[in-house]
Amino acid sequence: MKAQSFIAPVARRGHIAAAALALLLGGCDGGRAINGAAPAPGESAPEVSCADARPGFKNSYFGDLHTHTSFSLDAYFFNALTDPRMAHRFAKGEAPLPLPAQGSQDVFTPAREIRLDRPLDFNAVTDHAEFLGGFINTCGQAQGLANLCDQFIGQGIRDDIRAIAAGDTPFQTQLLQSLVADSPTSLLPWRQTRQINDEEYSPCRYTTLQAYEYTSNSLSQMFHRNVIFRGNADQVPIDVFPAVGPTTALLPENGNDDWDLFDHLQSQCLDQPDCDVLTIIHNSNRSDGRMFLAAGQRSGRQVLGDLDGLPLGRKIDGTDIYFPMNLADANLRRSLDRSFEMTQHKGQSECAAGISGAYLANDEGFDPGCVFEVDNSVCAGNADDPPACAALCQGDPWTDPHFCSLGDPGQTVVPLCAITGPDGSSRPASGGDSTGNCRSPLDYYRYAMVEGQKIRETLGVNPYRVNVTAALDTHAADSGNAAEHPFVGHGGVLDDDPREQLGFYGCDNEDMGEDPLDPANCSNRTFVDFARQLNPGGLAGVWATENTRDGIFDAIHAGESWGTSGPRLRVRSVASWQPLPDDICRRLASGEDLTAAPDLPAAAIMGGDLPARAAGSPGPYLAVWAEQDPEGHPLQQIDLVKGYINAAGEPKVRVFNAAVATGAPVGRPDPDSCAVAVGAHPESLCLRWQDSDFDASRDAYWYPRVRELPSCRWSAFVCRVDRQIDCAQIDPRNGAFPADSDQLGFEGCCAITQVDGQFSAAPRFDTIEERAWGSPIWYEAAR
Amino acid sequence: MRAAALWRDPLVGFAVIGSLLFGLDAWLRPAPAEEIMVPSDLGAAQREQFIREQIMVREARRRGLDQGDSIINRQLQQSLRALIEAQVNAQVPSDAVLHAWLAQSPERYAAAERFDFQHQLFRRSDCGKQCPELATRQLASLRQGDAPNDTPDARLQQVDHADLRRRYGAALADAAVALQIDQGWVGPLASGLGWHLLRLERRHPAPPPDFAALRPRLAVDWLQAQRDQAFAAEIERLRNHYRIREPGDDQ
Repeated sequence: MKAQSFIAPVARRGHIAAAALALLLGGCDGGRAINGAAPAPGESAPEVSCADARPGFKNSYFGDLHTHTSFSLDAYFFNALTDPRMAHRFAKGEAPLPLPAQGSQDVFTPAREIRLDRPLDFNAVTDHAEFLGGFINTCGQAQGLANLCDQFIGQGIRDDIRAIAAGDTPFQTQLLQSLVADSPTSLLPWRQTRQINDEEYSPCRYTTLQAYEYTSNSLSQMFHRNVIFRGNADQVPIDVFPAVGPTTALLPENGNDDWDLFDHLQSQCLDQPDCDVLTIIHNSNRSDGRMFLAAGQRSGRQVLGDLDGLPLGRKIDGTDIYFPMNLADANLRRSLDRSFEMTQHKGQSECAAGISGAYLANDEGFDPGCVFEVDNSVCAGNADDPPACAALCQGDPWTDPHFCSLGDPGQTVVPLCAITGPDGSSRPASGGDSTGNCRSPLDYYRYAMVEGQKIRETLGVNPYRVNVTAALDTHAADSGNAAEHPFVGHGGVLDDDPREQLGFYGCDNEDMGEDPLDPANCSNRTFVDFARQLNPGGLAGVWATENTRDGIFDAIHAGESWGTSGPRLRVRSVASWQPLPDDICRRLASGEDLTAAPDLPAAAIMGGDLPARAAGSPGPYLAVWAEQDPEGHPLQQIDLVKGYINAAGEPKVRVFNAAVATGAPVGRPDPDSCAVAVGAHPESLCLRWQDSDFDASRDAYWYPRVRELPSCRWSAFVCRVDRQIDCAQIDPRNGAFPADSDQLGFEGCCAITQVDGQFSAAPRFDTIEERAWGSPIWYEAAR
Repeated sequence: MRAAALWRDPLVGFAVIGSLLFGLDAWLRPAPAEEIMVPSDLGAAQREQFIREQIMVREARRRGLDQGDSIINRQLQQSLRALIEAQVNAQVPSDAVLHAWLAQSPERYAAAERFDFQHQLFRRSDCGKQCPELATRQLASLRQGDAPNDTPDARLQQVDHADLRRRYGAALADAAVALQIDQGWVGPLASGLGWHLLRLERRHPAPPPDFAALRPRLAVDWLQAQRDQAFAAEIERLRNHYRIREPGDDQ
């Protein structure tokens, strides 16, 4: 049993997760325990034809592509009770998931159980590659070690919640990762993950994808990708590829982090027989302009070559010397970056109020559809907000978007970038936090895609082109748990009770006796509400021939995919140079493979390309069909977003809000029950549209955004349905509910203002329009 | 600094009182009786560390510092559970054992029953408030033998509950799989999308479980059950060693 000693402590910890792990490791011991007569993990699955497969048609499936379990270095300290198998069994609806006690910091003791009411069709557990499985496998090695780890590392990580909220990796974590970067600690947990994924894969019913997250966090620029493989356990690389090396903590740089990953995946997967892989970009909304670099921007770097029309490419390691992006690298990036996580726990990355730079062609100067789940908004309801914010934050918390009344702007509001670039070179024009965190239009999908079209004019390839999915990014292993109510938080013990979710008063020196409830005895008193901008996250939808690894992977790769903010909305679009037939909406809904339809030659389906234009054809014809979640709420409208290069050669985005909409008046949900004003609104909408302002000599894209009727945000459910919080009871002396009140801790339900030491509070009513974003249809002009 | 001021310094007071207590303790303490056996393979530094650790742990226990410590309690429970489960972890189930396990709860591993339906959907966006009435009229005509409207979803072939739920929601899926073939056309049944008429044409019973394909999952589940069972049985056995009393119980 010697070989088991490495993991025995895991079993000693005694959780179901650990038990499952121990079993797997038992399997590692001699390959006897569970493999027996079963096919070896990774053995090629036989050709599958599922009962629901229909020749000439595709089916829609929903899944999650971003889940962390206790195999992730941070998630272990947020909820240590889970493993990838439990995430899968939860997602299948088979088994409950254990959670620590609400409000507790004890991550080892199960106290609650949650279940997923609606199973997922597919799921990818994406634990962080960096120190994968490190804590769960080493911290339990000797009696007491788990507790020591928890006290000295876990507590530090959890205490540094502000840094985590800002996307930083605490220094001690970075140091630890760097120290183990070259040791093979991830081999075994990756093997366990792969084996679990294969064992939990039920072709035609529930597809697991082999996956991990590549988490480059250097200099607090979130530069993250999920790596998703097509194949079985033995068809993928034997180890994960982490973003952390031995020198990361002391010499942080991220100039080559994307190229390092792509080179690795090219040589270790794409160049290998039977290996196929794609990457999904996420949280560009926290990359400070790093994820999509602007064309022609030097960022203060030395450049070897002509940067005109090109973004920075590779750099010479350890220097500040860069090459412009070249064609081979643009193709490399394009071959791997296939999809984009449009929304997740840490906000959506489509667009954000107040951040559109010179890209937005709309006369209004902003898109009112961009107030949805904005993370780290530049609009805060303050006098120095960017001008576009004034139309959104009008001073009435009952109707304003929730970010207009965040209590701790230093943590939750981020300035616009004056300069963006790699290696932490992004900087706000003025102010901002010490990390240089700032927001750039290129942090958002619609502007990044059109910037890529601009780059294509010089390079011949749009290196940024990706299609659309969405996911949760839960760190509590509850894959697919995207419901607004109840929202258990996705940060384990970090955000599992209303006080943590909504915000609370904090002082600098609470451990020295300062009292957050006493303004006179609380230095630097702030309302810590970083978690209020978080949300339950979204789901991915795909049109696939069948629910198998090949079927799901192909759909994501081709972009016949969409992202939702949680509800299972479906959307499908097609474009053609010819007028579309009368029954096009019905045929989109049916899942018919329109690229094979004889009466639709050269049609492009979502994610695909319009071919070269036939002579004499006017602008393309588009049709977008969308249907509500059959267990959700009716639809309000379909918006169409067009990105293009205008006659002056500038990248532009035009938004056609409510290109088709419900005919009945739209109301907000009931503020006491959160019942949606369903009325006579439609279950489906179909947009038929022709682009009357089209220039065939320049690139363009069109993607749909589908909006549900307004419904309650999770915070409204907490404040108005779970409890009936009365903001009038706030004590004007300290801005908190009275200590003997059962509302104490729910101050985050109210918009609290302070004038001359007197606090006043007004109720907020946070509503959202749940939505879906479809992959674009692309047009790339002949070059 | 004068002596009185020095004495008022809490640190000095603490040190003096502390030394007195330690002195008293040393004076009152009986001669050393406990042995610390040092393993032979330790280097000098490790040896010193080992001895110090043993002294501290034993001394802390002697003073009852382990009593009521929630971290220690949790660790002890985990260790005991691991000890109990360790006897199970080495077990390798045979095919016969797993066949028996499968036979015990076949429904848990069963493939889904599938159905063929004829289907008519009256979408809210097409007929609004008139939908139920239109559907009822259509139902009457279908029952008289008229042909259904030819829409892409007029035939639902080989669908199971999960397919129906994904497409039309739980309420309709539940109603659909409860239909009987001899019922003919049934409706209107409401869903989130509108109103439905359904006629069950054929049931496809679930195929028998494929043991080879299920084996890894059976083994995982079986071993987990053995662990849970061994743990529960051992706790039950140990329970007999204790007499449970509630506050207020008579002596």
